[in-house]
Amino acid sequence: MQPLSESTYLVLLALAKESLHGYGIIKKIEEYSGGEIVLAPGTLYGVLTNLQKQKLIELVTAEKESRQKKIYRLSEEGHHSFLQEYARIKKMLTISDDILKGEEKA
Amino acid sequence: MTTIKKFKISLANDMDKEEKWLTEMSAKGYQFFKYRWFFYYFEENHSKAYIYQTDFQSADDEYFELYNQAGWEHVHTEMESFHYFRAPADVIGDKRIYSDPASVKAMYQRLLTFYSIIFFGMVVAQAGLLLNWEPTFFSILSLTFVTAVILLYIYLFIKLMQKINKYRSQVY
Repeated sequence: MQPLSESTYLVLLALAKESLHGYGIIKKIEEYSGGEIVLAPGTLYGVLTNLQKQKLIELVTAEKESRQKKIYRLSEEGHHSFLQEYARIKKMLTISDDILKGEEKA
Repeated sequence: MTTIKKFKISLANDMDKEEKWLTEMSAKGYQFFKYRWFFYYFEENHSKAYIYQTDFQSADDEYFELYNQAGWEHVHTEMESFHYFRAPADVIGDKRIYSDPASVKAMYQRLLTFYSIIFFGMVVAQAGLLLNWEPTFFSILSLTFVTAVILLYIYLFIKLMQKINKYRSQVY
């Protein structure tokens, strides 16, 4: 699997534990990053469109027919992609820490 | 309130220059609010300074709501897909409507697809001109015009591809 773009990863991350509408995703990432990461609306709209096409996210059924805000959640496949990417990033961090701490490989 | 209009031809590959120009006009006190047939309409208001942004997207309600919540006021839409937004410069700071090069690249790709479809439609529609060629004054005039438009499109395609490559090289 190709590494996800940072913006795509952030959207999956925001949806990992709860369903959100578009702006809710921006807010959540902004809050958790202490205001440092603010996804722009055009970027988010593109990511949401792509993720829906790839069936990694889906609309929460109850909201689909109403004219209410669209609420998104991860599909099963989306959850899987997120976990895979999360593991990849974690591994990169572990490797980085090892190298920076100068641990020699036997 | 005074309204002024300015004539300007701006091709789709120069959307970044166009939004820069609109932002500069705004700083001078001329607030863009409407576009019609190569004329840009401005309202004179020296108490405001906006950052202008132009997007190309097949939009729905959710799209406009999202931009609105993120602080971007919808100003004008042209040909159903070109959307002009603005936000007060002091409020929006250095935020823009795109926050990574991948999504800017995707916008230029949508533009390329859009104009390719129009271009091929036009070529097909004008093919009859060559197939039934008769060297009348009218045919020569039409051919000259069609050739000019084709060259303009080729120029646009090259420029759009350069933009796509520029932003692709920033995705890593």
